Amino acid sequence: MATAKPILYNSWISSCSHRVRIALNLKGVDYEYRSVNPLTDPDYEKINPIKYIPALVDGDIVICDSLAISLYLEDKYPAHPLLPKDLKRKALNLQIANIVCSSIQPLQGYAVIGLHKGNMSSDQSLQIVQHYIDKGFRAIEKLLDGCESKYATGDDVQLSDVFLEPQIHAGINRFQIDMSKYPILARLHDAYMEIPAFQAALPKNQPDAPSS
Amino acid sequence: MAVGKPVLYSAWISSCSFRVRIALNLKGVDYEYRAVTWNDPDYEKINPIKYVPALVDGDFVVSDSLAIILYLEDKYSQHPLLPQDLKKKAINLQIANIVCSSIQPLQCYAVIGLLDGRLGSDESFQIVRTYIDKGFRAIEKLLEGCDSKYATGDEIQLADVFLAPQIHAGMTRFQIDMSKYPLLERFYKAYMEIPAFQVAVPEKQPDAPSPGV
Repeated sequence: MATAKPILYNSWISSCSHRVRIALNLKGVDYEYRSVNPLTDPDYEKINPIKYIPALVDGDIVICDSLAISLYLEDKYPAHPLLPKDLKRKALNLQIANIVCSSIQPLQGYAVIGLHKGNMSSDQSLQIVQHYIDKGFRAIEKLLDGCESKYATGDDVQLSDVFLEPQIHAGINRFQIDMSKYPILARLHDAYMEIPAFQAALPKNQPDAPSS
Repeated sequence: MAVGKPVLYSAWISSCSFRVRIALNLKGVDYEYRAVTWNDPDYEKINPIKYVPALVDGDFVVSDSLAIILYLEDKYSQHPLLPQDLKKKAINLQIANIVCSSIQPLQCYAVIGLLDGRLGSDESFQIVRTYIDKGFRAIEKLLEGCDSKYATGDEIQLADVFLAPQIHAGMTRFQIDMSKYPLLERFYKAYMEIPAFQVAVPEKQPDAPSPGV
């Protein structure tokens, strides 16, 4: 009996989901895309009690949280390793990934939800997002000061790249971020956009993206 | 020439620093504690985003509690914090990330907002309590039926290292009623029996204010 494909619960616009789509594509994992809106889908809580996306169901294993999913994929699917063996470069990748997923995106999520619920004005919401993106991006520019490699930590795409691109994409497309202030990240973004695994993962290319 | 001890840049009250102190203690790593005060201008050279903790190990600097702890996991084999089993490993990472991405950043936002004067004390408090409650309820559901000593088994693992500081902060700073989260309440009592956790608590750090002040 053939093993079923892993199922990714996600949504086109979610930057956390975008990270996992890139990782799955890089590793050549064929998956089933299941679009979900946790705010309106009452059954999703059984998959992820905190009701965030993405979640990956792989056989009888359910994994939630984009970093936990990425590290699971890293263990299970050896194609295109995302973490170097070298401890320093590995730590740098995890640090950059965590700047995105702990220091930028949660505040972006907070501000987007705040606007959606009417707790804050659109100006207030945008200001919060831009503040935290700027803070995180400036820190990453300093961390990568002098970077001459093709991607953030070398000439192969690694975990930090998988986390950076969705945040840069969201910044440019949703939050009016001027990437000329972050030249290394701007250069990396251009390099990512040459890669099929990244192109296929873009929000606009997902089955549930609105038609233009 | 003797290799220097790793240096941990930390603040007594920082729950992110508390996680790393627990991990260092569990792994028996002797380290130098270097207290970082709020808005210390030199600290930016260590960590450009200016958050604690950061670990300096020889010529190598790493920041962010999860990155530091996964580095320690690779470098110091004593007391492994991640199981080999992929399912249990994923649950540990998920719980750690609920704390470090879905609870603590919003707690930090609200605390800084209060210090900056952007948020009133009621508003700040409410934000923290909302996100702690949301995260803790999710973890209770995730671990429903758990009858092991700690979150994912009878050994302390990564999830426990991240849970203890968040529960401690909830109880001591944000008036969280832990009776609403019976599993977490049970785990916390178990954590506080363990020397590696006891020694790591904020009140015992060199930069903690003297009691009674």
